[in-house]
Amino acid sequence: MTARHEWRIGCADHPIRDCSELETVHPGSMPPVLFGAGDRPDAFAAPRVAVVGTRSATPMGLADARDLGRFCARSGITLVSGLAIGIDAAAHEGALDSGGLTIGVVATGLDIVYPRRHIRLFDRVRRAGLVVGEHPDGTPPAAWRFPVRNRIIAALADAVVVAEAAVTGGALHTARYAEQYGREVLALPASRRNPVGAGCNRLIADGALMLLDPSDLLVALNRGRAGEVGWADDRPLPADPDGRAVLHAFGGDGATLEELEHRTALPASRLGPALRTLERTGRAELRRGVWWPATSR
Amino acid sequence: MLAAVRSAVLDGIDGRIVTVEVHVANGLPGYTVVGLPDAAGRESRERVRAALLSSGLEYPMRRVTVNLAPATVRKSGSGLELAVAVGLVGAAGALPPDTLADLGILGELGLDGRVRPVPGTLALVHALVGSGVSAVVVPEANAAEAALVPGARIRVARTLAELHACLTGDAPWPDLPVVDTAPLSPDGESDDEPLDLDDVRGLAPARAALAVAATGAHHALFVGPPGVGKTMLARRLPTIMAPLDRDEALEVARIHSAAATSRGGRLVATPPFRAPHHGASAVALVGGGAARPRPGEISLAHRGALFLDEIPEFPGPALEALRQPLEERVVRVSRAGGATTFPADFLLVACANPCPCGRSSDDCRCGDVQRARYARRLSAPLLDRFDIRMHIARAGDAPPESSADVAARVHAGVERQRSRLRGTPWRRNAHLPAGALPICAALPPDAESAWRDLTEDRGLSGRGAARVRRVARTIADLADRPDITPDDVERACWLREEVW
Repeated sequence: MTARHEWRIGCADHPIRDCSELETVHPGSMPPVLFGAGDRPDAFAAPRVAVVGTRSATPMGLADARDLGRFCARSGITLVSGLAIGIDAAAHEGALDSGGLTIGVVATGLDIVYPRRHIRLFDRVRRAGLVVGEHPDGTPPAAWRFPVRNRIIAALADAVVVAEAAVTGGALHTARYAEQYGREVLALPASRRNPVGAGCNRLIADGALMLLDPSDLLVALNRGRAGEVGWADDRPLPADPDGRAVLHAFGGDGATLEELEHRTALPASRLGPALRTLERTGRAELRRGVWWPATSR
Repeated sequence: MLAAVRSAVLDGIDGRIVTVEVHVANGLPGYTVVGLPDAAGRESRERVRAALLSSGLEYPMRRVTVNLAPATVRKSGSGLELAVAVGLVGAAGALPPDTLADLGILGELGLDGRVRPVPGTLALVHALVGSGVSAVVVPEANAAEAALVPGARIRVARTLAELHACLTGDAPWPDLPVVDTAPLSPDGESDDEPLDLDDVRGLAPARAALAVAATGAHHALFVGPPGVGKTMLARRLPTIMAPLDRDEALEVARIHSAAATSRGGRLVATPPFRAPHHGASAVALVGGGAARPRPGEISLAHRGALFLDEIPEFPGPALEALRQPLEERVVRVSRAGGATTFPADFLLVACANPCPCGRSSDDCRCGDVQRARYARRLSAPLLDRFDIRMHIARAGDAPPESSADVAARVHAGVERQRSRLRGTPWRRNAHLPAGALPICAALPPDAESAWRDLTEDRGLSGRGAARVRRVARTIADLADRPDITPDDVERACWLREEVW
């Protein structure tokens, strides 16, 4: 059984550091009680970064979110997100995989797991951090509570990174709240061909910081100097030359078998095993007839 | 005062011999039909009476009893009317004795005495010839079809009056229409617009998959966003399928004759291609019906292809009903009145959108849950019966290839299978049972090890591995290679994607 916590407005260790801004922007929007469940309440002690984004993310976006989660974990930053499908889950997983602390903000009672398929993710988050929410036990999921919940994500974080988001959707709400509460907003630039990345570009156009290198995040938190820290992918290139050829043939984008065959000029009996090895080691994945390179997992 | 005439009725796609006995006796004038006729059989009285009178023949003002034997078989349709009319004439003593002894008679009557065609002539004549009649009288419109039955002596009936004259010897039998029995006509229905594969842009992998399907009779499922060209491609399947040989064409003609489709009882070399709409019921698809079981779309596609566009939109029971015929290549329709078996050896080609919204992948807003729910409309056992499952993500810009080029390869591949499988009960690679694979789809050592690695790598079940092996054999046949190579095995595996 995980430990339960409760914070009321005005208590000394309230995790929302600067609630005055919350009240100035939207009077009454400060949750009267904030509930928490998890083994690591000290997760709030570290600087916090929220990584948010679309539920229907591209494999690229998922890999970026995972990298951000790993980077936060390595840098001692607590990762905050919404435990939803897509970017949220990838960010949580990245942080958890690298042994970091993470906080999941839910829009239901803390005894409810939504979405159901994240039951294991919820467990991991409770053990390596906290699940928090403003609703008493037993509150079921309701569509209107999710955007309302996003204000808590924004309020809990010191900086908000939008990894991949369409022009409409919850992630942009989170970014707008963060802006109003005086939190830094960062966004990963997206290709103009990526419909679920257009929201990020819109934010950048509107003045959000562009996140090109993880060190940009440290700068935004006033914790480090700008410089090329790099998206540390500590895995070496595969030893198999065919595997390397396939990764090269991707060119950082998805490709069909037909295209891979054409670009690598490998016979089927070598391309197939190479792809399966990449898939098994988490470096490539097949989604709806298109193979994608998974830069990091 | 009694006459008996042999005729036949359709039972499914087979003919059943019916002896029409006509008894004319003294008593109150009346007309009774016994022996399980359907409504059309009972109504025949009015047509028979009017036809006799308009033909200048006598309708007896006496008590007429018509018995259709055997009494327990349900008779449907109007094909017995001509036999009843001739029987009445015979019972009245207006025919030389023994005229009707070894004659089979088929035909429906018009009020003016004209003889109208009947469906299923091919099967009916076949049954009559089998029962030992020396000649069969058929409506003029069915004569060409009836002449296809080997060993049949066909007599043409145009009107009742003329038939009477021929039977009494007052007139010669009309000439048979010229029937060319040797060559099969290359194209049955002339399409309003000839289709060709070179209309389809890109889609080279899908085109190759379609050729594999057509060669080895591997059922194929194409999943992809709308507008990518799935349907366009599948519609061109008939242009690359190998033509039917004479026996196959005869089987097909028999089914289509019984079902009275436009293909009718002609010998057509082009394999049938059926594309029912997704509103089709289970009965429409697999066959059935209360009174007289009719062949369904899968039997009409016998020796050809059945194309199910938007397969997830078909009703679930209809799709599940396909499972048994897909495996056994016949369908057994069981009703309270008895069971009928229809042949159903068809190639199933299906298309599906990846999600219910039917928008392109950029505009699609369907979540994972909706996609999963849509995919679940195809059950795992049904999905498993597709040897070829391909996700078409984008069209690509591969150069088109004409149907003639692809068809040439397919025909060569089919020939290769025919010669290898001669003397076995199987026609195509997809039909090979697992036990026959070591002989009919032998793997050289390098291909064998590739096959084993792949089975292990992909975690394929025994059945899945066997399916990959059959497809690999077809790919080799298509490339005109005697031995299966490791590349063939790998490509066969690529054709079996997890499409959802």
